[in-house]
Amino acid sequence: MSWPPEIKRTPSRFRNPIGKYKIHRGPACVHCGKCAELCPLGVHRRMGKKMLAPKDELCLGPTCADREYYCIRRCPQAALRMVINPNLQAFTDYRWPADLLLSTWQQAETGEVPHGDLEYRLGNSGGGFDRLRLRLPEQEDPSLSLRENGDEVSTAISLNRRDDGRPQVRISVPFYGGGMSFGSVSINTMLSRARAAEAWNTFTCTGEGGFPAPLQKYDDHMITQVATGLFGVREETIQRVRIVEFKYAQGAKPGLGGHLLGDKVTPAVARMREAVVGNSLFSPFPFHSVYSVEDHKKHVDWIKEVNPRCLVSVKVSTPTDVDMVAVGSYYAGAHIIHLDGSYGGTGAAPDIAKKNIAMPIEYAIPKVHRFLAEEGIRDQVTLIASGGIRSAYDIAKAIALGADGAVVGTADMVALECLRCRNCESGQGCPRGIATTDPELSQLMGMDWGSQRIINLYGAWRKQLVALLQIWGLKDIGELVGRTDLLMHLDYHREELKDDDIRPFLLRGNGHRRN
Amino acid sequence: MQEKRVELTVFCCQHQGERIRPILNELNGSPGIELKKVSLPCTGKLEVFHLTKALERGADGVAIFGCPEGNCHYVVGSQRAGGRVRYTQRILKAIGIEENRIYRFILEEKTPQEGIEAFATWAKNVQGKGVPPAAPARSS
Amino acid sequence: MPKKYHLHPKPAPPRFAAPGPFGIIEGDGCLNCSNCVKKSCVYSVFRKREFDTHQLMDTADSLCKNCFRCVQECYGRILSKSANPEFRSLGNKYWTPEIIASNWCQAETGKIPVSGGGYGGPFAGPGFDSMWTDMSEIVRPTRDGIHGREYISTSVEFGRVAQPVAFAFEQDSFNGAETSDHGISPRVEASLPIIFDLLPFHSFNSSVRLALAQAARETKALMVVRAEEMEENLGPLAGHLIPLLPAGEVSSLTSTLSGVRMVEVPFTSSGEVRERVREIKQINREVVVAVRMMLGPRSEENAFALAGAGIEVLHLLADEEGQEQGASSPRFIKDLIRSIHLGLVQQKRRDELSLIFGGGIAMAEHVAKAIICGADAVSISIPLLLALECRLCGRCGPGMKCPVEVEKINPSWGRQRITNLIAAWHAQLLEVLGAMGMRDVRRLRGEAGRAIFREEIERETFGQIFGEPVAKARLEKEEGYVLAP
Repeated sequence: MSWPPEIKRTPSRFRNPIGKYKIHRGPACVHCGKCAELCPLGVHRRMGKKMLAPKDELCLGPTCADREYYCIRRCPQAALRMVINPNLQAFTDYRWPADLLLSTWQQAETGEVPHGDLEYRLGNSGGGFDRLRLRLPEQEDPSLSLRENGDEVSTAISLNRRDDGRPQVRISVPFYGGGMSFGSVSINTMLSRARAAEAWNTFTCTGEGGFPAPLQKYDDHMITQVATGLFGVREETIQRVRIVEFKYAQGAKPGLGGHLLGDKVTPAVARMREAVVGNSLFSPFPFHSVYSVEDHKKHVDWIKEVNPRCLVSVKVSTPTDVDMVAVGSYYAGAHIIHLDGSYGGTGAAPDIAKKNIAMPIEYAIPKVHRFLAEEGIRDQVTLIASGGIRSAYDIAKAIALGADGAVVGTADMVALECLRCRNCESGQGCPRGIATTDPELSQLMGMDWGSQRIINLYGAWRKQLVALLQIWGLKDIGELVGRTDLLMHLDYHREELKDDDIRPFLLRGNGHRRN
Repeated sequence: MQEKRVELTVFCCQHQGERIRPILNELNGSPGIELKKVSLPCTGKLEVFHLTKALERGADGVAIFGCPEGNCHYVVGSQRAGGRVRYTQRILKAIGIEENRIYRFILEEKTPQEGIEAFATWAKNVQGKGVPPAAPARSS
Repeated sequence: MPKKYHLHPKPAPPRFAAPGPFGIIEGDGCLNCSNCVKKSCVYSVFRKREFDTHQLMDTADSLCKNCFRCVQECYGRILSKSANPEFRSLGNKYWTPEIIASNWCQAETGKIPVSGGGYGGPFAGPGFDSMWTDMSEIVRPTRDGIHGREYISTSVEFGRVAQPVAFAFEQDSFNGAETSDHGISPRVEASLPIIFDLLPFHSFNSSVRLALAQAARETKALMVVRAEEMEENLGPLAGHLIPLLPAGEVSSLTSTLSGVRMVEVPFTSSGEVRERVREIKQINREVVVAVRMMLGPRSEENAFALAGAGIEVLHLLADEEGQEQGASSPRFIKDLIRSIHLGLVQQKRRDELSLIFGGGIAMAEHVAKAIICGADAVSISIPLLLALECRLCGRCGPGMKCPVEVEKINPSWGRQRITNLIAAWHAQLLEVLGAMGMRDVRRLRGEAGRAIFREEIERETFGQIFGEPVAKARLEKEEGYVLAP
């Protein structure tokens, strides 16, 4: 396997990609081809004597206006018009607004920071990560200042910090994929994630739906999840992996187990989970064999007994006493404490649970980080955060708040062209072929395409993290842990923030890049 | 004799909402005028059946308010609306109904007062045209 | 053991097509492909599509699930999506189009809203959006009420808790505990902590009231109704009605007062109210009397005085957006609930009366949150109208054209719609209670330690890291606190 993994341009699998701007070629066009000659991004193409439809997803937008190849101005017939893509009116997600979706797609396509004025660092949620800013020196733009010697900066983290004789596991990037089960997503989605995890020497997780055979090639980069439904949990699946994850709870629907509605329990899924085709599966909550920290320790001991070399990760959600839960997990023997915040993704959950129950990860991280430090055990535990982590900047902020690394779920799917229509659970599942095991829908996405998209996205993220570390003069991502002095918050640091940072995030491109 | 009640349907694109508010307010107060407003994302969404069904429902007149053709957020939406309005007008003419019962207003070139006047003039003209032959009987 | 409380929703489709959040726009230039994307739409939107003549609405817009496949696969590139301005213009900043549409959907299906993907709304907001509810973890087991595995009780009782000591036998005292033979105050049970309040905007007609009253019976809830609007057909449902008595003398209302278990009197002054209650108890001492009062700057003072005077139930109302009235910087209802609840707790009087709060209760989560803040129950009005498809256009009144012809409903359809809505809200309440490991909603009252308040968690976390935040007023001014999607 080459290092770093190869980034290959992987455009949208759909005929009409969605870009921020639309270029319209009016009837005045005489197909002279001047625009095709001019545009270095390849928006305009001429085939024979005719112009093809513009590839406007590549267009820079108004940032191009002062460039000499600005086609709108240079067209001799004035036949071209640029408008903001009106389709974006239908993207109303606050956590993943249009810009963030589009910019993640671009990063998944190119492996680079997006061009033009696409906002790739922030969402529009109005709180948490979206009100935090990174403290960077004046004039430094991490997207532009990727310096030489990026290899001297390390983004690797160690996952075993207990001195317990179990093998060390080091991942080359400070993030890995969260559990998304077979049944909630397709086998191609799982394989894409697994191959990307292998390429970047990190991990992805099976979720609670069992360990499908095609993933066995990637054992060394898989995390088996033991969840309350105990689907597909057998000694054999626990023994094949380096990390086993106990899923106590899930941020998006705390207090509830997994939901897989009837239509998604296809024959293949039913076989895997030893269940009945078409019957909805609701995992119980909590583990009905765990009612105390001692019980918890027994479970962890059981896993450690079955697989003497594996690390144990405990995934919990974020109640008020999340710090106590974290400490309890440490004493039960966990290597990794994985906090899943309330705004994380899910295949299906009641809206009331997603919105209201438990706290967002942004609050849980500093709480747990501080508590573990006060207990004197912070350096023996790997603290991993998930629940709505969307970008390299969210990862950096999570680490600066006190996590060692992050887990992502939705971001992987966005790389595969999820656009948060939120129909994952309805009928056969995802109409775009990602979160479904319906044979026809799953065909929409190929594994080779999917793997490369996630590889590219992780590559773009890693580049940004390296650039940030270089700007801060840090040599290792571990030096960023708990560095809250490198963070600013809109509610607290008004005087230091520039107007551009303060103004709420706007969809409409204003043509200039912000730092 | 019963007072004639005029029913007008107004299709308006979302970007013209502000501009037509004074016009609709002005006329909504008038006795005997009943306005139904339907907001559309773009007048380009109009299909022929929007216009014909509105008449069938009993509207005396159908007004369309859209952006100027060079300034439509959907680029060609306003232009398509123009085409569809003209097409529907031809159909009306062919079946013996007055064409100007469907009318497209582009307000940007007018002042607010001119807009109100233009609309009021049109509304008065469609008054008294009677129920189109194909419409079901209207409850009074 | 009492019978378990289960509701049975049945699908009740709307009479008018509901506007959806987005629209589909089709341009010119269709290539007439044989494998047209419209044919392969996963949700068969284009096949099922109809044109609703009454509202001049294309139902494709609301059937569409926004997956963008047709937009992205059409060879002619003629399909686009848009926002639907008719949807966006529904309601207002508090009663958002999303809240309205969700209530419509719950009234149709009776099911808890469930969707895929994580929560896509804002991080937090004003009002009830500034608090989260807590949950159990590991050592504190949750309860699985939804799938029927464990029973979670949502029953509440209104009235005074029985006083175990000192039965004073003063003949003239109006206090039921002291004049009744058993020394026990009357109490009224409702199977869930939601009462139906008077409908806003307009009185509506007897069909609507019948639908509401029948739904109250079916859901074993209670419903406030103006005494003068208690038509004959509501007679058999008297056990579920709370007549709101007109201000003034009540001696003529003897017939109204028989057959009901609870009544309401409007607050005028402490003295007058006490007199009214005394009169009522003389006519029917088993009736529980609630005092209805608008929330304002003097609410705490009045509430404590009324509690001290032995009032059994207070029904306290904010405006439709949950704000107190008559204040220059109005407080939100959740803060008023906390203030009054905690004040009574401090005075050691909290169990002497029941507190029902209403105004601004728009979603099931608000019921749970209001109870966490200290309410015994909540009252709702607008959601009941939404169940009947109300568009919140605000143009109600006699002779006005209601876009959904609320007054023409079939009461039995109306009853099913409201029952469905209540069933969905009840199920969501069970979700929250279950997540917390509670088997009884009464345990939730005042459990502020099991909620996460944004100001507090911010102080504990970011406050510890970054220090003092700038003044909220400044933030609001500089940013307008507008989050446009």
